[in-house]
Amino acid sequence: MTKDIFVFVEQRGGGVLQAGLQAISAAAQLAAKTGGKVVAGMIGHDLATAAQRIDGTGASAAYVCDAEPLKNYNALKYARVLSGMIQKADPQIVLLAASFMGRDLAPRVAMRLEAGLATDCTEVDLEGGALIVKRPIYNGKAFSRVHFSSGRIQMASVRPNTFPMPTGGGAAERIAFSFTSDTVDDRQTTKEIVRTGGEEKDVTEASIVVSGGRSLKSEANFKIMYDLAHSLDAAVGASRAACDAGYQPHSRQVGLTGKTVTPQLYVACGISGAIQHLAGMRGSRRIVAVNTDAEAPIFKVADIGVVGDLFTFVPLLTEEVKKMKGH
Amino acid sequence: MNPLAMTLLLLAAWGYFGWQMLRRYRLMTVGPGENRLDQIGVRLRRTWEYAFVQKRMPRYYWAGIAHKVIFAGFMVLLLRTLILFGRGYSEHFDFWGVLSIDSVLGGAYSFVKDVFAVLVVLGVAVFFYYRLIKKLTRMTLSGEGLLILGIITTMMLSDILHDAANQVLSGHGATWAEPVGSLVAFALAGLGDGVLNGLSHLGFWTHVSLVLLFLNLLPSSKHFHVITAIPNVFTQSLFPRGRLPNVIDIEGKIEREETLGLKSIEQLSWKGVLDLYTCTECGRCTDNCPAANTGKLLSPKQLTLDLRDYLYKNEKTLVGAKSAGANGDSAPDSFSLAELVPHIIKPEVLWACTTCGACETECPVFITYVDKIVDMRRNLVMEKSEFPAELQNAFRGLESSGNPWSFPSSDRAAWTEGLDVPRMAEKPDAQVLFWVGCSASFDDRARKIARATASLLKTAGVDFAILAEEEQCTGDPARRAGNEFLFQMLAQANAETLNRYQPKTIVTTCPHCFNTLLNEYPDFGAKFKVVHHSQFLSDLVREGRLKPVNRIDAKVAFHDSCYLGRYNEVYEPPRDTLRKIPGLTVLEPRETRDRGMCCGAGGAQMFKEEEHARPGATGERVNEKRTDQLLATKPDMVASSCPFCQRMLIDGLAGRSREDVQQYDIAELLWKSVETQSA
Repeated sequence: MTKDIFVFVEQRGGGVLQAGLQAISAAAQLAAKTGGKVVAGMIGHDLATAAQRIDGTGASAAYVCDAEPLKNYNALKYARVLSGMIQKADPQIVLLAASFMGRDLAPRVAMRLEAGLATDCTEVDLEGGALIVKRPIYNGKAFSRVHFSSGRIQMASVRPNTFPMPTGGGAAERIAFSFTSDTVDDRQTTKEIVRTGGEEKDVTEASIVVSGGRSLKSEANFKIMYDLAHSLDAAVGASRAACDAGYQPHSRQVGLTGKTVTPQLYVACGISGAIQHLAGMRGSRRIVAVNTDAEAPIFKVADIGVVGDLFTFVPLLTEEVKKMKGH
Repeated sequence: MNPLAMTLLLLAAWGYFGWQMLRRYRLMTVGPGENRLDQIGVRLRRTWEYAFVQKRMPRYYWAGIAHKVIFAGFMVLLLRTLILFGRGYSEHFDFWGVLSIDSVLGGAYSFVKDVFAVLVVLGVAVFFYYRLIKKLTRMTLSGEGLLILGIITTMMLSDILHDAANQVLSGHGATWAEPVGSLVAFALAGLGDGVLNGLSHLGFWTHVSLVLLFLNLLPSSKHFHVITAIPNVFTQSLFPRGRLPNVIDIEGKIEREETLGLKSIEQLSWKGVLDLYTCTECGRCTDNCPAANTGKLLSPKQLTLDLRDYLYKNEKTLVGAKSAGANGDSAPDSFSLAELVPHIIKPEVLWACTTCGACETECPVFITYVDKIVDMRRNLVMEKSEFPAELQNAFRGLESSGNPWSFPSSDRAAWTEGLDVPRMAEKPDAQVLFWVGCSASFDDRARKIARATASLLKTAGVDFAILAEEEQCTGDPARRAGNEFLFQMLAQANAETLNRYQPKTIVTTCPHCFNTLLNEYPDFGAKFKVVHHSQFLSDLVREGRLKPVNRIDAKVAFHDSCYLGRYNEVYEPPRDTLRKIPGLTVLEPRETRDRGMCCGAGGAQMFKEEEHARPGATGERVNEKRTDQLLATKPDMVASSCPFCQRMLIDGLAGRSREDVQQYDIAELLWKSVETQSA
């Protein structure tokens, strides 16, 4: 076992997940203590451009497995490839992002490598030569500290946006990892990925969400929400009432029985803020509410409240954002 | 008439009947036992009221009257059948003269029998009418039903023919004791003795054979209820209706790897099987089911029939395995039948249920549905972790924060801001514990109910306090969603808190909290006097401690909450409270009280999306359909006494673009009427 830290940097269709790069920062902290190097790994197809994102992060080497069968994420293939990569790199510690893909892969890989695993960690450190992590439990009401034993590989997934983007270092040495097919993988094939909600961002992934309620009155009127979303690089959400009325697909519903979102900024337009909706967006960092009814409960959770007609306000806001971004 | 023929007929018929009944009995004993023979007095009284007087029958008026008449006719004619069996051996058998037509007793009986024979035919005519002419959708038209009705009619007519022919033969002449027989006798007068003798025999043998044929058709048809209804009513659950059967020792069950919830048909107790035997397919359950009426896949009647048919289909396997187990040949669980869900019952069927209890209120023979539905949900949730994904958020919230929306527990008393509401922790001797509930604690709209109630209690000078952070969800939605684990966790924690304070009275604003605290918490060692705020407030008004003086000039349609009304029969207090408000008129929708339709939130539906419509049906939201029923009374306002109902009705009014109609809880309206006077 080397003293290296291996980081799996996740990508989909050439887009590199920020949280995967953030994990390199965490790895750098650990590497400074173990005295080892940071080694990255990436899996997919046509990765030439994507792999460049690993350069200048402090990672000294990058294992890249580039093969057509790996074009779409497939848990069986990815877990097998990633396990192989890690065995070849022989690190002491493995980190990856606690993303959808990371949550799926981490236990599969840990099982194959007989590694210890702690998921969704917010702090990582070294104690007695072994990894020690902090992870929130009970909806963030308490933390647990997990100590690893030093005898085996120590693996942790880290929560997105808890570590900064890495800086420094030069280009990482490319190490090609070849893909060999295996019939066991055929138990599951990903033929196509069909996204609902078109090419728009998913509400759970965006750092800004703009949501509309029933008072938008029609699917066509949601265009002003999409215009605002495009200007802010945001995702469009909707209340249950708007989804029920068919203005937006259920996949965009925010609330107790829809998606729970925690963006940096949540803009609620024409949403009164019934408890079912609040349960899905209350955790947003900043909340802006636009509503004609000054008594609407949404204003109680809002940081900025606009009492007025969204059909007037939203287009104006879009214009202003465009102007600001134009500079 | 012919003792040999009669003996053979009786032996064959009763022999075959006995064999069929033995099979049905054996099938009943496959599942676990259950004691349903406690409180004999209560059981006898209920059996008289519901099986003999058939109190629930006239809920569908003419069908009910027709059924009562046929039932009474059968009771009367039972004796007549015995007389006729006797005549198989001795031509003029009449219980050795006791029921001789010439005696007063015999004459009177004969008279009554004649009248009932005609009434039964009329009753059957009503049933023919509903099936063939009116074609009621609640019933499934079947050859079997028509055959049985035909047999009953023929039995009556052949009996009369037998009497009439005998009358002419004997030369007695018309008698008051046989009014109908005498009428037919007129028509037969003048026929030769040979023909008359033939008619008498024809009537006799037709009647006797049909009685025995009828008897043998019962066990394999929906008319089995003729035999099973009385025992099914007698062995009905005597627990409060709002109490779901408790799962004892869940952790032990897991350790012993026992099945949790209803997974396979052999887990049904004998009473569960008797329920299935007893279903008469009248369809009253489905006719009143909010899920079925809004196009969902659930039909309580079909659920029962699907289980029954599957049970019958696997009779051999079940009974065989049971006796093999008893003989020690192999373990009793050595057979493997398909899991009920999804093979026999689709999960969408189970998840469409709002547990409103309308089906069980309607069923004339006390078949239960909600307990079976929840028990199947329990298996899906606790063993297979298969449930509507949206419920996960509510489960998580209940588990970690004690409320389904995951609000921090520390905000539970935030609604009291500016009201100065005492806490139990500071005032442990308070007479009344105001159990606020999650909705009224966290939902901005429902908080107004809590504030109004607290203000009213203060105005009336009630010595009360709240639990604040010490209160958690009672667990009602978890239990009804099948998450018995989570429910018991919450119930134990709350029971501990309540037992520490020992309040004299608990007042709730939520009928779900009310029902669970009243009917389910005693299983967890917390037995207290629990009242709903509608009861408590109406008492305060009656005692003059609250004086509604401000006029509210409005016509208010009142919506009954299922867990207050149907489950706990609290119908008057909320209406009473409203009527005391000057200027206010209470409007009753056509579907009201025990026929009141559910708002759609019960049974954890509040925390999930509604199920999709069944193929070919136009789906509708339960709350919008209910809103339409309330709007049909042309109200200015809609009132309820449950925070869940309130939320559903507000959404329903918005969905129908009728925001001009306001929605209030009874406590809010009462406070409006009391308020300024105290200020």
